[in-house]
Amino acid sequence: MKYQKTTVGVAVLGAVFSTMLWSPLVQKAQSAESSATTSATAGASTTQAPTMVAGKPYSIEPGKDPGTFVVKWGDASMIWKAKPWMEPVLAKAGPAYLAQWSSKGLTYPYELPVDQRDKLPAGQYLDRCFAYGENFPPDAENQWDEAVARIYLPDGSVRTETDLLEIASAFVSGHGRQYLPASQAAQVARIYKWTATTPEELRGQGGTTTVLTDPNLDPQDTLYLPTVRRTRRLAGAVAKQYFPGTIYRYEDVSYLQALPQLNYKIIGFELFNPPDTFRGYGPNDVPQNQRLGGAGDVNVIIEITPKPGVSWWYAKRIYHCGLIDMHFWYSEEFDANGTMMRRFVQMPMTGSKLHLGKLDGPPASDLWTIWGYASVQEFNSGFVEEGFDTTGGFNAEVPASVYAPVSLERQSMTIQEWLE
Amino acid sequence: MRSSGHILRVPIRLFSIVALTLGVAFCIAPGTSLACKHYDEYGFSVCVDLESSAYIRLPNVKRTLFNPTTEKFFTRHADNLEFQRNALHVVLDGSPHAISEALGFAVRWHLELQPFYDSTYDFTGSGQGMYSILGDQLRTNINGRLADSYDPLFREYYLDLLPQNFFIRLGRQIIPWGKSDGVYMLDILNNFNLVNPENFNEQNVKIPVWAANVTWNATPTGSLQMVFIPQYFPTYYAGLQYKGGFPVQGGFGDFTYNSVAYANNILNGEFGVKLPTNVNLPSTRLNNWTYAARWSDQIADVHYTLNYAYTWTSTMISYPNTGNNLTASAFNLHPHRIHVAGGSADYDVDVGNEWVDGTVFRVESAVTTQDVYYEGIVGNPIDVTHWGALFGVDRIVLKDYLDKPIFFSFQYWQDWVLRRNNNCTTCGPFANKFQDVGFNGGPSGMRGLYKSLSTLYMDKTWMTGDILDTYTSVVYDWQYSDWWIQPQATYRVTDYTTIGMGFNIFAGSKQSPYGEFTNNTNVFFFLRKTLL
Repeated sequence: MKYQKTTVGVAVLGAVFSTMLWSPLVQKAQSAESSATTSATAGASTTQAPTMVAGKPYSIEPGKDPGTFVVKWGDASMIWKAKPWMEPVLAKAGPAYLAQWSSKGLTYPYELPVDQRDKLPAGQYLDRCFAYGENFPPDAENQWDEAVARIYLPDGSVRTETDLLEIASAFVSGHGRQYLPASQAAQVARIYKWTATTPEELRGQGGTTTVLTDPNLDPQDTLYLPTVRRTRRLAGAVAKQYFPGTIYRYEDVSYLQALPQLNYKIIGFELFNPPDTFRGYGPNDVPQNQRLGGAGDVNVIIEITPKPGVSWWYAKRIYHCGLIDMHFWYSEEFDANGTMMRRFVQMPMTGSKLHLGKLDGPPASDLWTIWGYASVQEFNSGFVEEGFDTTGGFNAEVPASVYAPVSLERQSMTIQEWLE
Repeated sequence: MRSSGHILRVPIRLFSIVALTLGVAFCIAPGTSLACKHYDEYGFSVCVDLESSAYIRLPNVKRTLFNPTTEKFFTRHADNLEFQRNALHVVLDGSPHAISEALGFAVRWHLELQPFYDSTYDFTGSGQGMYSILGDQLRTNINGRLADSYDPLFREYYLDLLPQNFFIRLGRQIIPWGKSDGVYMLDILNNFNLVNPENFNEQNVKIPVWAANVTWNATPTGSLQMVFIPQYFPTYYAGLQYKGGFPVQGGFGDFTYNSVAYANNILNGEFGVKLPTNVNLPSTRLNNWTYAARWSDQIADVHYTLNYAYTWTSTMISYPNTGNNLTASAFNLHPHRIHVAGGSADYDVDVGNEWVDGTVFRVESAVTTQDVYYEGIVGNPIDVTHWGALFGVDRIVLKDYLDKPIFFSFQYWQDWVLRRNNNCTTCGPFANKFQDVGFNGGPSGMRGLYKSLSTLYMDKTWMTGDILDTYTSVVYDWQYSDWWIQPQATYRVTDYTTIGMGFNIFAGSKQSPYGEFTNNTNVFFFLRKTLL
C-alpha cells in the first residue's frame, strides 16, 4: 500500500506538472492572431519548446490554417497538422507537446537538457529512446498492455491476426525490484513477458525475455508451449530472428538496447516530417489507437551496421530518435546493395490514454509512455505488419512472482487474468 | 479371410469420410468470426475447435492374431485405416467477479469438453470394425463406457484460486513436471492414453486427474508446489480392456504392444487353459492417494526443480496368484506403490562467446523405488529400484544462413536398474533381463539392467508469419537399434484453419519397442478448425 500511494502521488504530481508545462503552450499555439510564438524568443519558461536543438535554432509558430503549426529547425521547416489518430492533447497542443520530455527535473532517460542530447554516444540512444523512452518507463513498477498484431498480404488483406498480452518492468531506477530475487537485482535491466490469446494455433504460447545489465550478454528467453504445458528455456533466440508468428524481429520487440554485434554511428540530424506513406502516420492508419507522432521533432540519425565478421539480417540500419522527446520514431533497413528492405515505425501512447493500477484505473502521467503502435513494412515481399495496443497501463498490482516461468502455465486468456 | 477386393472399399470409404468431415468443417465455420466468444456481461468466454485426423497404414500386410472365442490363431489382412478420429474441443473460462470480490482474491473456473468419435470402428467387414469389441470402448467417449478413465468427455474442469502468494487449482487437470521431451521420469502425475501412442500433443493424450494442486510463490523465482491426487488412472493402452475377467483382445488394436498381446493370448487360453484376471484399482482412501511436491527456483542462471512423488506404477501390474507365472491359475491386476525422487535443471549459456552462447543444456534425473519389471522369459513381476537420467542440448542452428533458422534438440536418456531381486529362481532363462514392450516370447524382446535411447528434434518455420511449420522427430533405442521417425508439416491456411500431414516410420527387429510397429508405418493427415 505504501508504494502504491507513492506512485499515485508521483502520477498526480506528474499530471499536474505536465499540465502546467503545456497549458501555456497550448494557449499560445492556438492563438493564430497572437504575436507570441512558442519559441524561446517570446520569453517563455524552460518548459516551452526548446530554442536550439542540435546546434540549430528551433521554433514552432502557428500556421496559416487553424490547428496547424510551422516548425523550423535551421534552414528546414515543415507544416505540422493534426491527424485523426493523435491523442487529443497532442492534436490540440501541436508539436510543442513533445517538449514536456525536455523539461527540467525529469528522471532518466529525460534528465539531460536538450542541448546535451545530441552529444551522446550513438549506442546510448537505443537505451534512452527505444528501451526506456518508449517501452519501459523506468519510474513505473510495471507496464502492461493488450495488443493486436495483424499481418497484411501485399494486396492489403489481413493474412493473420494475433492477440497478445504483455507486461514488463525496468529496474534501472530501482523500481520493480520486488519482482527480482536479491541475487539478480544488479544483473537484470528489464524483464518482458508475453502471451498470445489468438489465433487458436498460438493460443497459450508465451514467453519471457530477461535483458541483462551487461551489454555483452545476450538476453535470456523462455517459451511456454501449451501442447506440453511446460516452460522451456529458449535456445539462443537472437535479436535478428523473427518474433514468433510475426514479421517483427526480436530487435524490434524485446532486444531493444545496443547490441554487442553491431556498430553505432551518428550520421546526422533531421527535422522529422513523416509522409503519410509511413505506415502509422497516414490519416486512416488505425485511428482508434490514439497515440503520439514525432512530426516536428528533431531526430538524431544513427547508422547501425554489423561488426566485421558478423552476419546480420541487414547490412545497414538507419535509426531515428527524437531529441526533444527522446522517443524512437522509425528505422529503415537496407541490404548489402543499398536497397531499402524494410521500415519499422513505432509510436507511443502516453499515460493520458492509459490506466494506473487497474484496467479501469485513472490515467497515468503523460510523461509515462508505452509503445502504442508499431508497424513493419517489408518492401521485398510486400507484407506489412501492424500492431497496436487496445488497452494498457502501469503499476498493476501483480504478485512478485509475475515473471516466474511457472506463471505462464496458468494460460491467462484475458488482460484481467493476466494481471491477477 | 477377406479377399483383396474388399480392401479397395477402405480407401474409397475413407476418402468419403474425410472429405465429408472437411466439407462440414469448412461449411459450418463462419469465415471471419473472431476466435472465441466473450460474454463479458456474464464473465466467461467459450472457444470451440474441431480436430479431425486420419492415420493410414502404408505397408500392405497380414497379421496373425489370437481369437479369444475360438482360442485359435487366424491370419487376416491388416486394415489400412488405423485411426480416424474427430474431436470437438470446447473450452469455457470464467471469472466470477462477485465471488472474487467477496473472497478478496481472484477466482477463475475452467471447463473443457472434448467429445470424440473414431470412425475406424465403423468400417465393419474390414479394418478395426471387424473387432466390434474394440469399438464398444474406443469408438467414442459419449457412450458412458470406459473412455472416462482415459479420454474423458469432461476433460479438465477446475477452479483456480489466487490468494496472495498462492496459486491453487482444484479439479480435474493436467500437471506437467520435468524438462524432458518425450521421456517421462518426473512427469508422472498424469499417465497417458496410449491407444494412439504417436500423438505428441501431450495435453490431448495425458489423462487428466482430480487433484488439489497448491503452489506457494515463496520468492519472485521460487515456488513450492504440493499435489494431492485421490484417484489413480493407469496408463491406458490397447489390450487393457477386460470383460468377465478376461482381456477382450490380444492384438486386435493396431498399436497393441507385443508384450500385452503375448500376455493376453495366454490369459485367453493360447496354451489350452484360460486364466482369469481380477482387476483392482486402488480406492480413493487417503492412504491410496498420490502425494507429490516440487520446489522450483533458480540459482544464478540455472533454473532447477527438486521433485518427490509417492504414487503408483504408471501401468497396472499383473501378479500371478501363486507368485509364479508358470504355476498361476489366476492373476491380479493392480498397480504398485512407488517413490520417485529427483530433479531437473536447465542452463542457457551466455558468456559473451558467440560459439556457445544461446545453447541450452537440460538435465533431469529420478530414482524410482519399488517399481515393477517383468524378469526373465517367465516374466514374474519383480520389485526394482532404477535410476533414470537425461541429458539434453538445444540450440538454434544455421542462424547466419537462414532467416528462419532451425531449432535443434538432442537428448540422451538412460535407465539403470540399481537393485532387484538378484536370485529370481522362478524367472526362467535370462533372469537378469526384463521384458520390454516389444517382448513376444523371445530374448530379443528383453532389455538388460541398462537401457538407453536418444531423441533428435528439429523444427523450422517458413513463410511470413511462420504459417508453415515443419519438424522431424527421431527416437533411437541404443539397445535394440530400432527407430521411430516422425516428420510433420503444419500449414495455417487462415487463422481459423490449420492442416497438416506427416509420417510415422518404424523400423527395427520384431520384438523391439519401435520395430514391433514396423508394419504400422503410416501417413497421417489432420485438420484443425476454429468454430468459435
